[in-house]
Amino acid sequence: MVMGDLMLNLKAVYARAYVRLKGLLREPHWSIAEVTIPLLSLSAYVYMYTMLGAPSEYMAFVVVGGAMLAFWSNVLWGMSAQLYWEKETGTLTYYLLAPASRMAILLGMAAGGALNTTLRSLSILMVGTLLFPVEYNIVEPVALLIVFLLTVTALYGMGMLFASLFLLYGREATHIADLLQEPIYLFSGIYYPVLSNQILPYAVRLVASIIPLTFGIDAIRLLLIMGKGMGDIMLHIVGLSLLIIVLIPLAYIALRRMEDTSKRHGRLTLRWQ
Amino acid sequence: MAVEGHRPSPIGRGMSTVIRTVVQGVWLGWKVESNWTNPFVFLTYLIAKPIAGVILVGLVFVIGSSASGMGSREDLFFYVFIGAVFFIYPATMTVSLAYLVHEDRAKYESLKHIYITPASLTPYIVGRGMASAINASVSVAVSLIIGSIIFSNHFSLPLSIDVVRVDYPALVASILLGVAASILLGIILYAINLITFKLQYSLAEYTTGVLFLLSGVVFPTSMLPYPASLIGGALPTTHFLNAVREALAGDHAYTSMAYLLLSTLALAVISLACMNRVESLARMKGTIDRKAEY
Repeated sequence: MVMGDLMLNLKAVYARAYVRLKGLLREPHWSIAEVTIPLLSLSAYVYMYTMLGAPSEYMAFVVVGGAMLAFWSNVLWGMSAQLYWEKETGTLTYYLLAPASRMAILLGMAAGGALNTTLRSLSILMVGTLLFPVEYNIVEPVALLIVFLLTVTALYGMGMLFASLFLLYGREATHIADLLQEPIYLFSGIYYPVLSNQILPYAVRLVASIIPLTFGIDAIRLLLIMGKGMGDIMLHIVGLSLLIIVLIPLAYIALRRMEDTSKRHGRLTLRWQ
Repeated sequence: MAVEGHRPSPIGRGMSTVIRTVVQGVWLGWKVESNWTNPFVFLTYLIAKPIAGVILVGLVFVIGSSASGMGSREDLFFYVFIGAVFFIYPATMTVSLAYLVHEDRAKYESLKHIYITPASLTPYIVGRGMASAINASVSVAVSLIIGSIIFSNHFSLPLSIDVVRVDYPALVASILLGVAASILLGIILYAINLITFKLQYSLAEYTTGVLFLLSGVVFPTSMLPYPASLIGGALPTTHFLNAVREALAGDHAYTSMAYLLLSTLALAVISLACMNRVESLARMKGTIDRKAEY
């Protein structure tokens, strides 16, 4: 029985992830846009650092930040706002009728989105590296892989939590997702280092550290650009692990509560709120 | 009982329909953009997003100039900060108009009803663009005030604006022309979306991304390689931002304004021709009421 449930949920994970990967081929112009568009703003900030005469590693910071930005966009639009979209397009009901766990569906969305976005993120990194004089100094590739996996897991854990919370929302969902763009770019240090930056007030750095992207980008920059090793990013690993431990169970609890509340308020099939 | 002599002429009736449609467009735009939540949340949304964008640009300036040892460069900060603040106009308006077809056609299924009214689509789009410009004006004003307070108090970067020296007529005229140029650009995006499907998000993001890179928002267009610098020099947004900077600094803004006017007129010809061509094409292809996203 337990084995049967496990297989069923694994199938649901695969089925939901498959849609994400298939979508990559179904709408190729979206994939091209998702690589090209971040490169446009990323290039503007590289030119700005050039104008200011900043050291070359700052350009590398921008390229790495721009590549990681793809994950945040996917977490917001492909995870957080997804259940709202499913409701608008009328497919949410089918997910709820299916015998699989809701968490399996969210996990499938996360797995497909993460794989899909990794390809896009690598493309942004490659094109950015070709366009601008960026140098990398990798000493411990295994540490880089570990920190990348932890960052992606924490980010998608946050996406699963937001997806649950957004289930309650109507039109607010897209506006809130939209609202979570620039402020997160500001705090997570997409275009500049945050955690090690003495220019920024301590309170700002503290607030920034509850965003998985902040720890992730900072650690990836240290390992990829600054030639640091595992010993230098232990704080980042602890921070990301704590975020994972908190966010994923929280997503599970939120999903149950929000589904229950949405049912009682009759919001699960309501469009145009 | 109507008297023949009191009836408005056909031109008068036409103008009245256009003005009524623009006003209705503004009203509808305001309702759609604001009534999804309570006024407090809407105001927060209207303010938080652009302020975050402006502070981000300012922080890149502070961190970049500190890393280079450049020290406090108030002239450069003025250039970057004002560029980022006033770029809110084209960014907000082009995104809003680029999503309009999707909203009306697929989401609310109202495009066909709007299309069969006596007025044409163009005044309606202008009205929706103006609603977006009003929202953008609030964002610009608040970002300018809060941003200048933050950078002046926390980073010793005062914004060198002398309220006595500001050329107010040039500033107002530049903003009006900049808003007109953004609406015209929005009409082109609307036209493209009318005969295509699922392009609205990427088209909006491409447009704002290209404008951000090529319009001299955070660095001068002369730094761009050829022919990107040439394209940047032809964009109305470049001249809009230059004219606003010059008017705020109390410098001679009329050369930039002349370029802004010329590029806006060129854009008007392109956008209206585009809209005329696309409307008939959309009817031929049956894309006005076809749903593809839902």
